[in-house]
Amino acid sequence: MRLFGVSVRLAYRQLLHRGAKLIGALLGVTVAVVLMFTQLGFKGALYDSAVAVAEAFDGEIILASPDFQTMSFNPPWMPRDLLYEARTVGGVAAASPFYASTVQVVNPDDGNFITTWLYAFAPDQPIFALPDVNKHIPQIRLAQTAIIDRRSRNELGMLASEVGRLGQLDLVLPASSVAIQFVFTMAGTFQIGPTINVDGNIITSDLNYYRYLHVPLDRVSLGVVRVAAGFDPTAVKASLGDRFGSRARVFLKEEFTDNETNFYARKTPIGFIFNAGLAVGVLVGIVFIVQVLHGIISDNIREYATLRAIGYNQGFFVGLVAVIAISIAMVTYVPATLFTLLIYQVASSATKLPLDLKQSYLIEVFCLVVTMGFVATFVTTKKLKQADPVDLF
Amino acid sequence: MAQTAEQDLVIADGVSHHFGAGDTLTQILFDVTIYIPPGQLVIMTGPSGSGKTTLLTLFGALRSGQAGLLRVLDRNVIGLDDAGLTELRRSIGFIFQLHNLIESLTAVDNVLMSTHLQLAPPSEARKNAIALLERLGLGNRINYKPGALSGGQRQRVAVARALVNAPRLILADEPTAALDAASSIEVVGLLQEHIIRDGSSCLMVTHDNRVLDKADRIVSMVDGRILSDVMVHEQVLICEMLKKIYFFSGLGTIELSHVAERMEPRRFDDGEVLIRQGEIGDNFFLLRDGEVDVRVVDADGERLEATLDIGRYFGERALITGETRNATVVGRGHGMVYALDKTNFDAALALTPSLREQLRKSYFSRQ
Repeated sequence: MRLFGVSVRLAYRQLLHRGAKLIGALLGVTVAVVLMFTQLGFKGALYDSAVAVAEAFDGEIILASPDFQTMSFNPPWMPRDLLYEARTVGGVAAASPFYASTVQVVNPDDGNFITTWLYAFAPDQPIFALPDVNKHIPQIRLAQTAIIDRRSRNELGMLASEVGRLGQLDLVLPASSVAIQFVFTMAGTFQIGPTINVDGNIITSDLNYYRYLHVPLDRVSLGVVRVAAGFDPTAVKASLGDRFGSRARVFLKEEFTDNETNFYARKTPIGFIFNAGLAVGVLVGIVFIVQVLHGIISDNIREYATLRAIGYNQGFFVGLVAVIAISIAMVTYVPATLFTLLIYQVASSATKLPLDLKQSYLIEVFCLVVTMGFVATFVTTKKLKQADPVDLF
Repeated sequence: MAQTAEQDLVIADGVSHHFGAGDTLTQILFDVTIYIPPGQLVIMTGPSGSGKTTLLTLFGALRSGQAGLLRVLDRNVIGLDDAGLTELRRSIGFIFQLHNLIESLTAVDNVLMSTHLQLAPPSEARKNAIALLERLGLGNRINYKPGALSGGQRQRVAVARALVNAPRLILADEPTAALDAASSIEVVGLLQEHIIRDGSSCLMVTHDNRVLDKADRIVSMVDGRILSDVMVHEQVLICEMLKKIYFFSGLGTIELSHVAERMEPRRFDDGEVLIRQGEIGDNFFLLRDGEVDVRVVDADGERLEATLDIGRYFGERALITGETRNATVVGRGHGMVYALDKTNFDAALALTPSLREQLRKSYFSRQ
């Protein structure tokens, strides 16, 4: 323990002694830590945006077609009869239809098309736990009336701002199934947020959805099941599963969001890319720390050999290097976190994606930073053996 | 050597060492035997490749020994594992050619690096380190980093680092090579002070002529063997005694030192017969310590002819004339003589050309 204290003090002195050389290395490691945070943040934002609509459901269980894979694409339909059947299962308080399709909105300024999700539900069977949506139910009951997501991105976001400012705005939604262009009146706003590939969301009634897309309303995209008070959602889910067998997939809401996250993580390159970015961040950090360690060891090789001659063992030197490595990593953690907050703010503002510095990121990056220090120590251990007191003679 | 094994700090007996194996095997040390008792400043010289550095690293427990007997500070170094070697090194003081101080630490903190491995309380260790630096004339520099110290000051800090734990054995490799004459004398003087005060010993490998006259003993190595091992002060004393003997007075310094080297010390007790009247002479004797009685037996019986004391000699007549001994010499109390056998005695007489200063240089030049 006494020798550990010696190694800590020596590490501190040797780090300070490097002066400007150390500042360069610290900047490098800080950038690496920021890179880790941004990779985690962007990945998390992507996942969070993908599950934002599901998180907004006012229900504990979600029913989907047996062919359902992800909400990233238009979900395959399932018969509305299943919802009626679901209502007969014990513990089910409500089973409501949810309709979803990606559609185009014409930008009135330049005529360009903007991609958005069009969601719909039966006004007398609300499915969202969003006050902004529910308070506009009287509006969306009106023919060709909808509400628009004020967190929409780019041009759609500006149109949503116009709705907020003017109270309502007519938008043209091109449709091949109608002879004339379909006009929706945007009569209010709500907030869910865009996804990585769709700029925003519009919500309307099931009838308006039918009027526009001519999709039969007995073909629902998802069913949102609310569990009656006093019932265990897991047990109700099991009952629904037993009832439907292969006719439907039954998810708890958490399972549904996990399914979405896993889809991005495992079935698209996106998860791999962000994880690779994270790994690069760790690698860059290790390289910078190893450079510092090599510099310190090279500059002090004879001094370390002398210490070895007077009785310090390899364990002391490994401890010394570990303290230096982890100190460098830890010192960069706080400024990197602050810089990350700034980057998140700028990126969130630009992409409208939900970039939040979650506690889980702080813990994960902290663990990576410490690991980085240990790996750098391990890599450098071999060089320590070059400090051979026999070479002093 | 009169020292017992228990007293010796280093006991090397038949030590051999090699590097490599098979076709590339290179033997560095051949059957080296040397004992280092407490209280000596031993200077080791020899050309590059003579094996002195290898011997120093073995004595310093920087590598494990291979063959022979090697005990350092009562621990067997032959076959000792890394942990044992490291542990042993904590009891040895090391001084190198370059100071090798840690640039980021102050002078006192550099010295303290040696104390952290010992059991002394930190406050006491710090007190000792400061006291030692003050004694080395660095009292006003204890908080200076090496970069702010002169070469001599840095080496003095390195000496303080080696001495702060009062080690019984100090190993120094060319400690004065990078110093000016004054600093060299100063550094060696510090080591001598420590040796006298603490009863430790220092083995110093050096080629620095400026510090040779400080040595108690000079060991010369050549080709992995000890060529000569000279107790300098004792040799000087013998030479001075020999010089006063009329048949050796014509010898030059080198010849006298050769004769002195060939003389073997012998202790005697009270009443012990060193030569006996009527026997054939085989040795010449020089009295180093104590007194002896010279007794002659003739027709009138036995009588005490003389009593000899330090610096006197006997036994030469039988060697020169070839006659038998004409008297018996008996120890009077305990003492010591140096004996020179007939072959060497004759050889010395066959030779012919201020002593103290030249002798050491003659030993040193024997490489």
